[in-house]
Amino acid sequence: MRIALAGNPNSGKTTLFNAITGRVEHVGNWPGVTVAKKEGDVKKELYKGKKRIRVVDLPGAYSIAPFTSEESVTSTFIKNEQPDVIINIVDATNLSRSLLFTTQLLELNIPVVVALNKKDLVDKKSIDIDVEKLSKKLHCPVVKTASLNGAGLEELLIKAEEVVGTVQKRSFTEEKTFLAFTEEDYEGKEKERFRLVESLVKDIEVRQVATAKENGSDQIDRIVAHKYLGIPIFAAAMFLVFHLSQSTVGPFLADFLTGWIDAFGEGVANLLGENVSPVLSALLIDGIIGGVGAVVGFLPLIMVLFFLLGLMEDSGYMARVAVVMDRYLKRVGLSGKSIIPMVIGTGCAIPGIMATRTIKDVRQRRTTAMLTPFMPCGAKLPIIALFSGVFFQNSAWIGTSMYFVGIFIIILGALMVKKITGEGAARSFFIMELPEYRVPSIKRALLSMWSQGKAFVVKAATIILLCNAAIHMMQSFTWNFQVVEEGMEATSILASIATPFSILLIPLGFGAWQLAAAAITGFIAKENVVGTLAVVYGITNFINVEEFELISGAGDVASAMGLTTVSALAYLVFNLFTPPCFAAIGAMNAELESKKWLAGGVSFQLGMGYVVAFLVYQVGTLVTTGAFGQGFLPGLVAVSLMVGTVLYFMYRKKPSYEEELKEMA
Amino acid sequence: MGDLLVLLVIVGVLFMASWKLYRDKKNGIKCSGCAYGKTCGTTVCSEDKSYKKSTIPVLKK
Amino acid sequence: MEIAFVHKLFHRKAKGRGEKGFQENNLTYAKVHTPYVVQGVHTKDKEMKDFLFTLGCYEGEEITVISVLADNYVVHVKGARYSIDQDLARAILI
Repeated sequence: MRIALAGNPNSGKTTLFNAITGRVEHVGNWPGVTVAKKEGDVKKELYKGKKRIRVVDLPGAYSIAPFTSEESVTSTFIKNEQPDVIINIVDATNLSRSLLFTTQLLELNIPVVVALNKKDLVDKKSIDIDVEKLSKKLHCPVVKTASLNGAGLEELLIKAEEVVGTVQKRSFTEEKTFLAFTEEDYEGKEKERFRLVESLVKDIEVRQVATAKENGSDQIDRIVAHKYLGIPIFAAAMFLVFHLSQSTVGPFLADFLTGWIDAFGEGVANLLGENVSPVLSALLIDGIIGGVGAVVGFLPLIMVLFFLLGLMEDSGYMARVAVVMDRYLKRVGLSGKSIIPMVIGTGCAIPGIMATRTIKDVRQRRTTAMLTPFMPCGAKLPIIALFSGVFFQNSAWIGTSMYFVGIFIIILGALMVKKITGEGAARSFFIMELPEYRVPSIKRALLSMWSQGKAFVVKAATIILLCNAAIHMMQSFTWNFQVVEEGMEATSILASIATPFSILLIPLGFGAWQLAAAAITGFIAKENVVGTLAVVYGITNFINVEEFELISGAGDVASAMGLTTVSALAYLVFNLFTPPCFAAIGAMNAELESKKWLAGGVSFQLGMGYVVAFLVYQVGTLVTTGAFGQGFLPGLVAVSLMVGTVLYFMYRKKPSYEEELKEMA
Repeated sequence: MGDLLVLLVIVGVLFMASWKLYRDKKNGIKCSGCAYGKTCGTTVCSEDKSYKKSTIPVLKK
Repeated sequence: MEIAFVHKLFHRKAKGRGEKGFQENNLTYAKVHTPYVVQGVHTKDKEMKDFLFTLGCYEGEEITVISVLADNYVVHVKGARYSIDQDLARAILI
């Protein structure tokens, strides 16, 4: 038996879905969180019957006629896949708009059960709804639910099973005026539908407070979305998130974890003692334990980050961020909606890229999808933390400035895309529903944190572990499968593969094969950069234990890597602003849907990483030493070529819009 | 003797990692360790891509 | 003629050039906290017009501006709050 969950955006579908299936799908207090359908089975505890019930969570829709891409998803699913029952989740605090969709669903010849959700809010607002009357008028069962605390769910499922296979009467069948409208006069019919819904609502609902007046949420918005205060508040909020995760709470917890990891490593080393061949013990201790341990040590930072992001997403602030940023994003050809994927991207770029589906305009959607990876994601945090710890005395400014650089690149990129694709594209309107603020649920944020943390550990134990082991083996052996001698590292397999690439990186200040190898492994997972560095330089000790108080050790690490402060910064920038991990590129591919855009996007990312690193290194070296760094000229040539190509695309003569229209006519 | 033990441990660990990846692949999870591994890159009804193309409203139904 | 109009619309500087609808009877001139009745939605973007329709924003419905935040208007329509940008506000006639 298949149940589909349909309803207005932000009405509580995904929360309900999580509650009855036990899954932890992404929830957020703004319209447009769910962009794809999700399936799951009903938990055994809730359903006593025999059948296996499959639940499908759909994106929110205001009506059955699809306008946004999410609405299309819902509409197509219901029409093509013919679920057995539709549970229509209705936000009880807004009946007059929600019931429009309800009555449309009732005409599809699929049994419907209405879940009158958010009853906790309804009670708080002293709104009285006559449920029985509503049920009678709609000709379908109505169950009061509150998906946040789980109320009414069992009853909902029971009713759902009851209606399977039944035929429900359509609403308003008694209304002659309604039936009088023909299929062609769609607008007229829908207007009449609205009118009938309105009178129905008046009949069953008693409100104490008129909603058109200003309320608490609006007053908060006066400040938060203020013309001048909005941006600083947003900047402060983001800074708080990063500061807590990277400079205070995160590292504090990480300290304990790295202590354990290191103790574990030492314990194993002691166990093995002298009897084991150095190659094998090195592989196990430095390669596997060291490499993975280096990465896992950063787990607390990432978990704190996701926890805080979860709080922010739940509060309802995200919609306001879109409003605040709309003015500025319009100037670069995007809209306020584009900021949400980017904020999500600070956790992980993949859900951020998927969130671009809520953007209607195709060009804007693609641009946003392409630019979202420039916001440093959770996986890049270990890289930032490592470098800021080793080279910059743990200054909090390194991390923060990386985000600003990301923002700057995004602005630049948006402008470039605007120029290249021609500004003749229609301006799309910005409209966003503003949900009520609510005190974010700690439970939900913890769940999000837990699921991300679990995923991270799984990733570390699989992909990163395999990569590190491979890297270690490749650096321990030459092509003849002979063990590499001390000091002869350059003869290893790894060195010979990475060296050609490292030559390209000389103008950027980090032309060592080890660094090139680390950057390359970063494409598989950005955490690999840290892991590979740990393996390749055998500096696991420093990274694990003293990473955040690396004063004595820093010098050693720095000299081991052979990097000056400037080139370290260049390397950091390079890794942060090149194309993201393959998984994210895959997500980009799915959203861009155009090989041309994908190629353009990835090349842009590659080029950007190279150019920015080049600038940082050369200008930095010039400033600190008065002379350009190595490989200045070849690098300059390469950079000029890249910039030149982009400029060409931006300013080439295109047929003006008028001519295009004439051609089309 | 110690060598063999270590070797076994290493192989065991690597094997378990690969096996987990293999199992994920079979379950359709696109990338292990990503919390969104299941929904990554999938549209709703994979046969029906029409929702992404034009957005001409289908009002007359 | 249609093409010329569309072309003009895409020029950024859409000054209220005496074209019907770009005058004082649009939402940007509404007083805050005062309910108005929508007289129409004037836009060439049929999709947006239809979308607004499903939200309950069409001729005859009540709309109230709750606040004005920079270039965005927070409006109340059919029991829900939305933030719309200035272009959209100009398109809603009251």
